Formats: sequence, C-alpha cells, structure tokens
Amino acid sequence: MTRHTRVSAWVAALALLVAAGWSTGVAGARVRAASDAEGVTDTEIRVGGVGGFSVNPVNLPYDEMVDGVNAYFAMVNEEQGGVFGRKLKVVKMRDDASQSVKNLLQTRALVEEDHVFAVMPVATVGFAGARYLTKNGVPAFGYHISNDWENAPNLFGETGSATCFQCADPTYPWLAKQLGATRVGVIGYNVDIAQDCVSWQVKSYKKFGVKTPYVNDVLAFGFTEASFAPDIEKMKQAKIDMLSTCMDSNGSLLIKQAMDAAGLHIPVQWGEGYNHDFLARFGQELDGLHLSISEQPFEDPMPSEGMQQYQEWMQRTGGNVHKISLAGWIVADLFVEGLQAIGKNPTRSKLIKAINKIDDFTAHGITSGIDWTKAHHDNNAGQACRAFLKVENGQFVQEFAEPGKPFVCLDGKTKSLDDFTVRAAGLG
Amino acid sequence: MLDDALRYVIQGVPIGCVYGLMALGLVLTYKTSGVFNLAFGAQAFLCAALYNELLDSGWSILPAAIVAVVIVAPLVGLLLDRLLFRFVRGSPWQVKLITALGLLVGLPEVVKLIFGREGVVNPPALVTNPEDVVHLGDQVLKAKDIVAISATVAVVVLLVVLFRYTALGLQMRGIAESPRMLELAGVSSERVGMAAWMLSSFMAGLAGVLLAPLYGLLDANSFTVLLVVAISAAAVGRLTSLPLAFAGAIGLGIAQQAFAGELDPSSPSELVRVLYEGLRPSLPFVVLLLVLILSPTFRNRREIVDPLRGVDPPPPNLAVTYHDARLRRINAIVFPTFVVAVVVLTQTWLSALWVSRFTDGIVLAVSLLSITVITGLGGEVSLAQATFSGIGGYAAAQLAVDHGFGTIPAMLAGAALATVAGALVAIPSLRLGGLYLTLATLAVALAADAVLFKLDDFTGGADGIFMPEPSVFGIALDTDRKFFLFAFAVFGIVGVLVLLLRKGTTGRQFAAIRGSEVAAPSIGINPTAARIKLFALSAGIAGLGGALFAVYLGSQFGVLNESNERFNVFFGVLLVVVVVTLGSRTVDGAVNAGLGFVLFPLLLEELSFPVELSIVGFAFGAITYARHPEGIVEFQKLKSIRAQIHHRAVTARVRALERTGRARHRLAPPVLVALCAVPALLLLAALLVAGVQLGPTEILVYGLVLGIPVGALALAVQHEVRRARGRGLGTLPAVGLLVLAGVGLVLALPDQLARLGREQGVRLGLGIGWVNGVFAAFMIALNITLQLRRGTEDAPTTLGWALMLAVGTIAIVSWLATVLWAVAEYRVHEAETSAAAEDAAMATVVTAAPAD
Repeated sequence: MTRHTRVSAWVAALALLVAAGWSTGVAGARVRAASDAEGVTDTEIRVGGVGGFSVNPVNLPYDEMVDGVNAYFAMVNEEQGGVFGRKLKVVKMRDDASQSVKNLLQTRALVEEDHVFAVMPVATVGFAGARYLTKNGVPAFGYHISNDWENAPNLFGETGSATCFQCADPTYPWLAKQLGATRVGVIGYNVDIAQDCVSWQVKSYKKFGVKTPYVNDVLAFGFTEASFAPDIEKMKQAKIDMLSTCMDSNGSLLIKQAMDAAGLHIPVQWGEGYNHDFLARFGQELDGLHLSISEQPFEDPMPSEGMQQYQEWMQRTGGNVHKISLAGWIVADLFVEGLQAIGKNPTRSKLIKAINKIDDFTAHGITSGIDWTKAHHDNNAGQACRAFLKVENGQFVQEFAEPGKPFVCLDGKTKSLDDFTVRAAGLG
Repeated sequence: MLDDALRYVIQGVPIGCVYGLMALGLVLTYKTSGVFNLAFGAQAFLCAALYNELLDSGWSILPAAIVAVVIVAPLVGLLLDRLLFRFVRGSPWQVKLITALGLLVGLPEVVKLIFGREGVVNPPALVTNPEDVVHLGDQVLKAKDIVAISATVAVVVLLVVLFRYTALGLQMRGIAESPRMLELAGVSSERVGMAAWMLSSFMAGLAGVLLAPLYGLLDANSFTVLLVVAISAAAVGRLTSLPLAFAGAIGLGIAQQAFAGELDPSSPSELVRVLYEGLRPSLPFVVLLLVLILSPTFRNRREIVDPLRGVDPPPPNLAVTYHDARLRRINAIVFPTFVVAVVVLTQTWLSALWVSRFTDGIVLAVSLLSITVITGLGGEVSLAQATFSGIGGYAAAQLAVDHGFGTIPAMLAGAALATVAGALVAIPSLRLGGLYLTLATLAVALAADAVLFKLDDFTGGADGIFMPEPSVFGIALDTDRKFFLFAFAVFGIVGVLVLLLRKGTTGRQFAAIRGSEVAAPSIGINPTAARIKLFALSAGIAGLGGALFAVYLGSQFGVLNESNERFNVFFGVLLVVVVVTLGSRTVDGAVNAGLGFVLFPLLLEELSFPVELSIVGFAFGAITYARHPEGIVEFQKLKSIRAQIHHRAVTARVRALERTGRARHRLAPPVLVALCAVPALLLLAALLVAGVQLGPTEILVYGLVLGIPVGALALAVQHEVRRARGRGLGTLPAVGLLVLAGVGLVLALPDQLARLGREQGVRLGLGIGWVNGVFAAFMIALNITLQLRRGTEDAPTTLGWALMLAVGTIAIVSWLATVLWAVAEYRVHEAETSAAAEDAAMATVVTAAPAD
C-alpha cells in the first residue's frame, strides 16, 4: 500500500468524522425530550419490570412478583374498567441476572426502548438503575431489599424505602422479652448487608438491656452443619437463651438443624423465613422458629379487605400465593391509588407527588401502615409495627395477635418494652 | 486440651470426607487421563440435580440413586470421553484445562435449563432419616454424615485395590503416562480411557448425591467452591496419590474446625477477629497456595507428558501476519472507515442506551486484553484476572474519592497497584508452570474474594464508594456518547500497546518461553524475569480495565459496591472461557468477546430464548479450543484468507492459460450474479420497512413455510452452475437438500458441514447463503404477520432495527459471496481440468512424436 493511499483513507475518514460532528449537532438539536406521560395512551397505561430472574443469590422466586402485579391489574381492569378508562398492562419484564450493570442497562431499556410509564415491579438484590430513574423522574415500585431505594422521592418499596441500620428497632428486644430471653446470640454472613443487619440487631437488643454475648457476623456462605459445630460450642459457652439470624432461610435452617442435633434447644428468630413453600418442605423441622413480618399474615382468621382480594385474584389469575407475589400486589395497589388521586391526565411527576402525600398506606389492610411523607428516609414513621409468627407442628401460627389485629406496635422512641399495642393495619 | 483435639477430630472428619470424596475424584481423573477435571463439581451437580428431580417425581431413594449415580453418571463420563477428552489425550495442558473450564461453566447452565433455575434447598439425602443422630461422647454425628463417611472410605479402599492389585488399574495409570506406549503393550488405550472416565464420573455422581444434603443447598456455586477446597486436598496428595489426597482432605477438615473453635469472632483482639474473619473461609485456598509454592514436587515437576507425543507444533500464524498486498490495501481503507463509522454511529445514529451497551462491552474488552497477553502471548492461563481488575477498580475509586485524584491519574494508579499485585503473585509462583500456576491463580482469586474484597476500607462496604462524576482534561464525561469515546480511546491505546508488545522484544520472549521454557534460556532469555513481566503486565491491563469499569459504573450509577460481580472469581473463569472461544491471541478477539458477552444475552432475550444459552454457547465454544486454539473467529479469518490467496493463485494461472489459448473454462453469466443480489436487496428493503418481534415458535413455523421458496432461489444458482457442469439436480432433491443443509448449518459449525461434500467451497458457500436467505425470510414473514396482527402500534425496537440491518447486510454480502465463490470454484475446477487435459494431450503428442 502506498503512502498516498493511506493518507487518502485517513483524510476521507476525518472528513466523515467532521460530517459526523456536524450531524451530531443537528441530531442533538432534534432530540425530543421524553414525555412526562410516556407509556400512557388513550386506552392503556404501560409499565414494565426488572429483576434477578435467571440468577438469584437468595433463592427467592422474584419472577413471581409480577404475578401479584398482574392479579391486581386484572382486578382493576375487570372490576373498574381500568383507571379512568385506561387499562393497566405490564408490557415487559427484563432480567438483570442479579448484576448491577445489567440492572442499570435493563432499567434504562424499560424507559428508553419499552417506553413504560413506571418501572414495576422491581425485584433485585442490586438496584443499580435507581439513580437513573430518580434523575429522570420515573417512578419505580418493587421489593425493598437493598439501600438503593433510600432517599429518592420516586422509589416505592412494599415496606417503605428507608433502610436505617442505625435506628434501634424495639420489636426485636420486645420479642426476646416475650420469650423470656435475656442473652441473645446474633449471627450473620460475612457480607456487608448481613453485617449491617447484625449490628442493627445488636444495637436494638442492647438499647433495651438484652445482652448479646455471642455475635458472629463473619460466617461464610457454603458451610455445612458439621462445620458449624465449633460455633454451637461457643453459643453454649456464652449461655445464650435465644438466637437471632441475619441469613437466608437455607443458612438459618442448617444452623437450626445443627443446634437441634447438639441439643441446644432455644428459640430462634429468623430475619427471613415467611415462606410457605419452604415450610411445606421442612414442616416440623422448623418448629420453634419465630419470625416477624410487616404484612398481615395469610394465617390471620380475619383477613382484611386487601388480603381477601389478593387471595381471590391470585386464584383467578393462577398466581402463587407467596410473600413475593404479595409484595407485587401491594405496590400495584399503591400505584393505582396514586393514579386515582391524580385524575384523568396522569404524568410521572404528578404520580410521584400524589403518592408522597399518602400518609397511611395499608394496601387495604395488608401492611401495618406506611407514611409516604416520611417513608423515603424513615420507615418507622415514629412507630415500629410487626406481625409475629412461630412455627408449631410444622405450621405458621400467629403470636401475640388477635383476629384481624395482627400487628404489635411500639413507639419508635419508647424506652419501655411494656408500652405496646396490638392492632389492625393503619398508622392512625 | 486433649478433649478439644478429640472434638475437632470428630467434628472435622465428616467435612473432611466431603472434601476427600471430591479430591479422590480429581486425582483419579488426573492420574488416568492427565486432565485436571475442573468440571468434576459440575458433573456432581448434574447428578445431584437429577437425583433430586427423580425424588420429586415420586421415585423412591434406591431407584433414583441407581439411575443418577450408577447409570447416568458413568454415561456422562462415557460421553465426555468419547466426544471430548479422547481427542485431547496427547494435547498440551492448556487444551485439557480449557476444555474442562468450558464444561465447568457450561454444564451447570445446561442443568438449569433442564431442571429449572432456582437452587434446591435442603436436597434429599441417601438415607430415609438423615437427621437421626449418633452420640460420640458429647459430640453427635448425623445419619447423612455417617453415610458420607462410609461411602468415602469404601471408595478409598476400592480405588487403592484397583490401582495396586488389578490390571485395569495399572492400565489406567499407564494411559496417563503415554497412550501410545500402552498401545504398544497390546492394550486398547481407548477402552481404558473410557473406563477411567466412567469410573471418575460415577464418583462425581456419588459425591453429588452425598454432598448436596450436607450443604443444605443444591446449586452450582456450592459445588464449585467445594471443588476448589478439594483441589487443596488433591494438591497435598501431589495430584497423584489417592491416600495422601484423602489424608489431606481429612486434615483440612480438622484444621478448619480447630480454627473455628480456637478463634473467637467476638474477641476484642483485632488480630484474632481478622484471622477468624479472613482465614477461616480462605484456609483451603491458602493451603493450596502454600502447598503449590513450597512443595518441591510442584516446583520441580511439569505436568504429565507423553514421551512419545513429540514436539507440539507452534500455534498457527495469525491472520494479520499474512502479507498480502491486496488485503493490506483493503485494510488500509476498511479499518479507518470502520473506526470512523463506529465513532459516527455512536455519536449520531445509535440511541444513548445502545451506546451505553457498547461502552459496557468495550470497558470489558479492556480487561479481556489482559487475557490476550497472559494466555494469547504467554501461553499461561490465569484465573485471577477479575481479581486484578477488582484491585485496580477499588483502588482507583478510593483514590478518586478520598484523595481527590482525577479520573486518569486514579485509573493509572489503580493499574499500577494491580501491576504490583500481579508481580507479587508471580514471584512466589516462579518455579511453577502450566497447570500448577493456574491453580495458584485460582487460590489467589478465591482468597482475595474471601478476604481482600471483604474489607470495608477497601471496597466501601454495603454502602459502596460514591464516585465523583468522571472528567478528562476538564471535559466532564457526563453523557453516554462522551464516555463511549473515552472508553474507545482507552481501548485503542491499550490495544495498540498490546500489538506493540506482541511485535516487540518482550512479546517475542513470551513466545519463545511459550514454545520451550528449556530452550529459551539458551538464546539469552531469562524465564523468571519474563514470567514476572508477563504477570505484571497482564495484571496491570486487567487493573486498568477494572479502573475503567469503576469510572463507568460511577458515571452511570454513582456507586461502586462491595464485591462487584465483575470482580468475582467465577466471573474471572467465565472471562477466560469467553475470550478463548472468540480468540485469545488477537486484540479483535478481546473486542469480540467483550461485545459478545454484553450483546449476545440481549439478543437471546429479544428472541425470547433463555439467556443461559449465551453462557452455554461460550462454554461449548471453548471446547473447540482443542481444534482451534486460535479461537473460532480467528480460525474462520485464517481459513478465509487462505482460500482467497489460493483462489487468486489459481485464477492467475487460469488467466495465463487464457492468454495462451489453452483454457476451456466458461464463466457464469454476470447477469446471474446480479439476479442473486436482487432478492437480497429486496429482503433488506422489506426488513427496513418492517419491525422485528420474534418468538421461537414463530421462527419455526414461518421459517419452515416461507424459508423454502426464498432458499430455493439460492438453490437455483447452484443448479445453474451444476447444470453447466453436466451434473444438475432435480427440483425435489434440490429442495430437500436445501432444507437439510439449512438445518445442518444451524446445528453444526460451518467447517464441520464442509466435510459433507467433496466440493467443500461450493457447498459451504451456498449453504451459508441458504441459511441467511432463510433467516432473512423469517424476518420478513414475521414482520408482515406481526404488523398485520398488532397494527402499526408496535414500532420496531432499536435492537429490532439493528437486527434487521445486520441480517439484511449479512444476507446481501453472503449471497454475493456465495455466488462469486461458486463461480470462482467453477472456474478453478474448469481451469484445472482443461490444464490437465492440455498437459495430457501435450504428453501424448510428445510421446507420439518420433524421436529425432
């Protein structure tokens, strides 16, 4: 090749580049600002979700969250003809394989390619697209599992959006007190989210005088019952009378099995475990387990209006009754409540504003109550409410509750664990 | 004290047996096949998943166990041996290792596709009451532990007997040393190799069903971690001694229990806490590293090498090394045009989201260049490249946030730190080589995951490191388009450096050592210094890639979280597989791998296929490393260049014959070529006006119905050519052949299909043309149907547009190429025939001529 050819090629290339620069300016000038009502047509309001479906490190069926959303949308579309005549539709579910970069790109694709009005449901361990959505004013609704949801007015989790590991939660020591425990062991994996959970629980116990002589927040994934034996010895030496875990159900189960085998029969409080599929599989092996949730349990003999509707429509749409699909139902309820509040011409910004004015959201009696004027930075909203359950004869059984009144509530700033109420959903 | 020791023994033996069973399987495979079977855990996972599935389907324990362990597991071993490993028996260690890595990555994804995606919690044991306990003093053993211990001991005894006292055992040992020597002794090495694989796969199956219940979770990662722990035990047994490997496994189990028992996680002593937190989970990896570095066995021994194997041929020349004036002229125009086209498209036409996707691929490609250096140039396989990326990434992020470093200085500092880390890994491993060095890098990566990437001060913990907006020379990289240009420039610079490295003295030193570490010092090369350089350089590039990723993530998300998935050891393994599949020796191989990794799953998702198929595709692509160590793309490039050069030479000869009036060839009429382009152009036009929404069923139905007539047009071309040669095909067989060729091509690699016929070039070319034609027809049919069905509301997505353009362009190019290729082959054939006839006639004339 001659020098002349090479130079000519590069000159031509540079000329193209200059042309490109010019056309960039032109093209840039033509870019249309995304509409605040993107995804809203005369007949439909379109949403789309993202989550860790193909890979899920916590072994929960995140793909079932959309079942709850679809069931709620089916109810609204069928019984009310949609919202102001517009049917609600989930047009796309995108998989992020639980990877942060992929979550970001898939979230963007929902907005930029699928042109959804809102991102819903979100069910992922690393919600990296959160900042993008906030920057672009797109509302998102989903399963609140990480601190990515915090302090953004457009992100709505099923239990609120704040994750305050610095705030002591009186419900943990309250449970210990009810079970007669004074020395609680706290255990979690050696990942930061679990370690934060451990320190949060320790802080909560200590604030109310419950001792924590055994704390282990460095447990590695992939241990066996046998390899856990030295830790059981340490628990025995520390004379703990209750154990609290910050782990997935599988890890907690292994620990419980190891404790049972070693003759350490003490109450165990699981941070995660309200899973009926899991219970169906292990039944009585879970006896002695205590856990608490933020929603009305399925076992409540007096289900709320929202819970009855959920059960009915999950059956009609063929979805699985599960805490994950319940979370989908709850956020769909919030979405619709917000849409109904803003009238016939919905926009994203109006929706976000409207939801952030709701100060006592219960999804028609399902959740203990979320004050969305504060819930982006403070979930307790001055109160800590939990519904308690235990496993007895292989079944979940409500504790400390009355029919239709599943929640035990304490003032968030209380100094006395005796100052509690048992009540139905609602902050009022 | 004695009580404590006894307690640790009782607690440690069950877990030691768990490690032991896996270690024995590894050693068995290595002893008998020379393959360090990193896919052993994946095989175990497959059998455990099957066992679980059978029990879920209502089978009882015994039949399910027999099917999973006694029937399917050996069958898997048989298939692996027949389809894969028998071809690599005499191959270099890299080939065996990469093949095993491909399986390690691919098999679990296949299992997920078959049995479902979610891990199974508390999988069933081989006993009916697994939680029953037996008391040993104040300690307890569960029934499932006792079964695992008993099975392991039984396996050890059986293996020792097999190897010490049976002819088959002796033959199995012999086959690892030299299959050819075994054949000389009258033993079928094929049969012995098959038996060895079936036995080791049986052990994998047994390990799978025994171990899953002990871990309480049936998922692929648990088995992979377990496998690495087993490697430590196998290393204690020098990878060849079964009793020592077993002893090592038991010792490891007891040591872990002692560690856990003696150290208190809530101790006020920071040292004790750090030891507990860091060393307990990483103890097996540290042991592996220490054994590899300190044991004279590994320092002074190379892998098992067949003495009759002969010398490995050098790797094939790269396509780029063919000095062909015409190709260089084309490249001189095409390459700048390509670069500019990329810049123009990313700055104008492509959507910001697509630009960001390409950026992700390019950012990844920078890290992948480190594999190009260490594997492509140096011939070593490092599984710690993602770790070096992590070191570079976290360091750059910390420096940018805490010390106010600018974007470029922070990235360079991150790369420098990774370079130092690479050198630090290389120095103690200097005497190691090949497989052992790879295992050392695996240990380092796992230890870094367990310790370094758990340090909040380094990674920012759960909250992560909040990155400032990146800027370069005062220009904020605040849009996708700007960041793409930056990433593209970084890749360009590193790519050029890698090219210079390859051409320069250092690259040649790496090549010399790769060729022969013994011969290299004889020409004045210091292997020690070269290996340190190799590791440091590749780690530095990986670190720079990691730093670029951190900046990219910072620009998009604002936060670099702890233990980001891109810095994980498993991701590092996956990267090696992806790069090796697409070409580990070239810079464009890294680009292909980076973009392929990002875009291929998207394509699958758009086509409604499971995204796991992308991993499966890459994994099984890596398996072709045995045949094409240069990578599939590079292989095709080489093949194409050689064909072009060959055709040109023959065409020149034809022209020479024409000039002398000795040629009798007939050219295909140019109008035929033009006619072939018309349907392709029409296809492209149709594609451009319609949208793309594909589903697998639609592809199948519409493709079968409408693909045939379009493909038949391409067939007509072949028919014309063949008719001209007097061997035309009837219409019915022609259509049948079309369908068969289309299906075959979809299922098989092009070079495998080429074996089907004698006129490889024509068949291959036409085959590709048919498939593209058929595929293009899918698109049209689908679009027309979908447009009718859904109205005009569903506008094509950007991916849809990209697909249409790509397919249309490929269709045009390949159709033209198909015809030109066919014509060229025809000319060559005719020319050769006529030349031969002329020569024969001349010979006859000469023979018949009366002597003077």
